[in-house]
Amino acid sequence: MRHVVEALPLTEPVFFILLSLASEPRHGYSLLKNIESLSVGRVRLSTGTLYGALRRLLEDGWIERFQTDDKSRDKQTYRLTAQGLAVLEQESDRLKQLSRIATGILRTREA
Amino acid sequence: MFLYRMLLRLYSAEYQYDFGSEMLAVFRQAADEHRTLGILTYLQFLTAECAGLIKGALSEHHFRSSLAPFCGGIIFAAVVNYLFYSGILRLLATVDRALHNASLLGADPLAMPITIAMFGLAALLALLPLFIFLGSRINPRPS
Repeated sequence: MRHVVEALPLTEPVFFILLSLASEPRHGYSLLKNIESLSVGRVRLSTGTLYGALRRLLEDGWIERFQTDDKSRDKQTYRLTAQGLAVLEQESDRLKQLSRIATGILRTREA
Repeated sequence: MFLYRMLLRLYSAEYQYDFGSEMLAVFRQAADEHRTLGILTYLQFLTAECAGLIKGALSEHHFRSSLAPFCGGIIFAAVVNYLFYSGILRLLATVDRALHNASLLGADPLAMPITIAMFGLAALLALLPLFIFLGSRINPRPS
């Protein structure tokens, strides 16, 4: 299990997976579609990339498998854990801070 | 689908058990969708999927091989000990032959190599933690 500080910055696929699961629990295909939609078609994950990331996130305890009525092995649902949510919030704060710095510098350059 | 199944075999058995059928189901759904978007889009999708699977399998093996440095340390220790042992043994065999030729050896000729073998084993066990540490420094665990 990795510490939150060690894990930041998140890779783009991991960030989008956590972001996608923040709204609701999802299964693999739904994750792929939602990530594509969130990134306006820019991030298209292959199944290999998606499940590699999901495995690591499961091992780190940032997401968990969620029992639904459909218990078939080929349609598992994933949801964010409290730790995963904390990581996402920290990464979001980090990005906000970066954005503030960049905006400030660009404004002074324009003035 | 056949190619996808074949490439899935690049992953460990544990990984295939955990995610194999799920990945296959997601791939099937995505492939059905891309098939309707034209042959070029479909081929692009298949290429990306195959590349993703190979890349995923490689990084998975790298991730799983976090115990590799320790195995590397053990193998390193064994090789060093073997070289040390075989070198000393060869030297002693020469001495032994010289002694035998001079008819000075009264003891069992096998006694010396056995002592050296035991010394080698003791050295292997004593140096094992050091080699494991060195092995893990050479190839640190991926984060």
